[in-house]
Amino acid sequence: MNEVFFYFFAVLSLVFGLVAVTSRNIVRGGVALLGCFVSLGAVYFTVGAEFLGIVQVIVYGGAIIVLYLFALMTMDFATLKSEPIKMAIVAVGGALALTTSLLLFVGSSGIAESVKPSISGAEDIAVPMFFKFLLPFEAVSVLLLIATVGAVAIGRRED
Amino acid sequence: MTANFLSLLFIVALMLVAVPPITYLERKVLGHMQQRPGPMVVGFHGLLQPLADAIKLIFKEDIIPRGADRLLFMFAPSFSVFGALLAASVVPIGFIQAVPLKSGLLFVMAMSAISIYALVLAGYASNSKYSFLGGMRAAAQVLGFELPLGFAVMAVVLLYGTLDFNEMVKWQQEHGWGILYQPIAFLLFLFMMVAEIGRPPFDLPEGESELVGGFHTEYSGMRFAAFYFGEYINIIVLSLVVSLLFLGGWSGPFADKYPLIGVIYHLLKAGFFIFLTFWLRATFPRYRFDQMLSIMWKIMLPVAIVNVFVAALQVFLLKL
Repeated sequence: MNEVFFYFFAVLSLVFGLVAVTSRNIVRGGVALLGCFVSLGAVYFTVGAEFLGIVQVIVYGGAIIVLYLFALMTMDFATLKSEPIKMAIVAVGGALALTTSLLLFVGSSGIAESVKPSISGAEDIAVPMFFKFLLPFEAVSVLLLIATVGAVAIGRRED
Repeated sequence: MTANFLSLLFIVALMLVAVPPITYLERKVLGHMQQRPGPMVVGFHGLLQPLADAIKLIFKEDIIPRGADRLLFMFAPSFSVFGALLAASVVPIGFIQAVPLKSGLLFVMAMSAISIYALVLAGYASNSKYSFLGGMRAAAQVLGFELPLGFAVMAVVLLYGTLDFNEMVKWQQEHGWGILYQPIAFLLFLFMMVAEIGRPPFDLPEGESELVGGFHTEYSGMRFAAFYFGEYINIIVLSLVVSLLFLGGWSGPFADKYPLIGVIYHLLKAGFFIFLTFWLRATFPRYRFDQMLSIMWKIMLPVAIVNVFVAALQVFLLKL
């Protein structure tokens, strides 16, 4: 039963992801991205990592997409034009990402069977994060702080 | 498994059946608070008013405005009910719980966040400036209340050491109600709860005096009703959650021996908070947009963060 749901939501997230990339209407694309994130959260649920699934929905579905939509709705899309060269660069990047993920998929197909998710609750994530991996965790928070300060500095530039 | 399924049926049915009487009660309470009788015409003291409203909404023409984004326009209201009902499915009412989730509290918050999209997308898809401004306000409101709400909840979670509703109630049965330990978190949560369901004084996305009706200006018939269902189910769910977090849920005298009394206690406690939302609506004028944002970011967020430290101190000093 779980497997049925797993494949259902996996396919659903792929379909939503495709719609998000190909959609001409950018707000619809944003909504499709929301669908993609929520069904990805459901995929986490089906493999037993419920905390991760919920966090996925809260962080990406709750805050980030609202922010995206908020910004997208205020933008003026009449001034945007299609740029073939940039599109080509993006396409090459996409192809590289696809091959890498395929390689990863093929390489890890043997491992995947033996891996059992042991992180269902909040404690299973929090305990390693705050004891075993405290230094990387703090380093990441400093990195985020730098990014925030940088964003504020760029956003407030007066000309 | 069957018990879970029956609980799910019960909870979904309760949520859907409770909405019409609650709208009636709201109008009655509001009416009496404003020294007028409220609905009186249909049935004894207007008791059949919700039924009349339902019939009207069902038979009303379903209009999709020209120039609207048809697909999003049709789907936007469903987000509201979808998020609210999913949140309801993990909340225990006494011993009745459909999905016993270890991180139930977080799940409720996630699903409430999803139901906000109904307002944002409806505002965008209607292609009307009033709706659009309402949708934008809804999006900004989310960015305002999410952080203080998260920190307010974090203080309580620190205290109880769990995200599971059942464990929280067990903790409170041993140590006393959470409101005694965390009154500030309680007030913050109430404040943010009202903002989350978009009730006055935080009904900025609707704002009938300046935005006509905001995001639901262009909706009619059952699509319009879907917004109402989502809003009222959210009120019920969050009222149940507040009473779980701070008022001991179903704990009370004799609740251990007779679980059914626990259910009644829990519903009564939630009922008080539902009444509170009506009361607030009758009492307070709407905040202005910039006032709302500055209250959230400049007052509520620092208070909530300091409160997390207080909670940590409590856990440390009292050895809870």
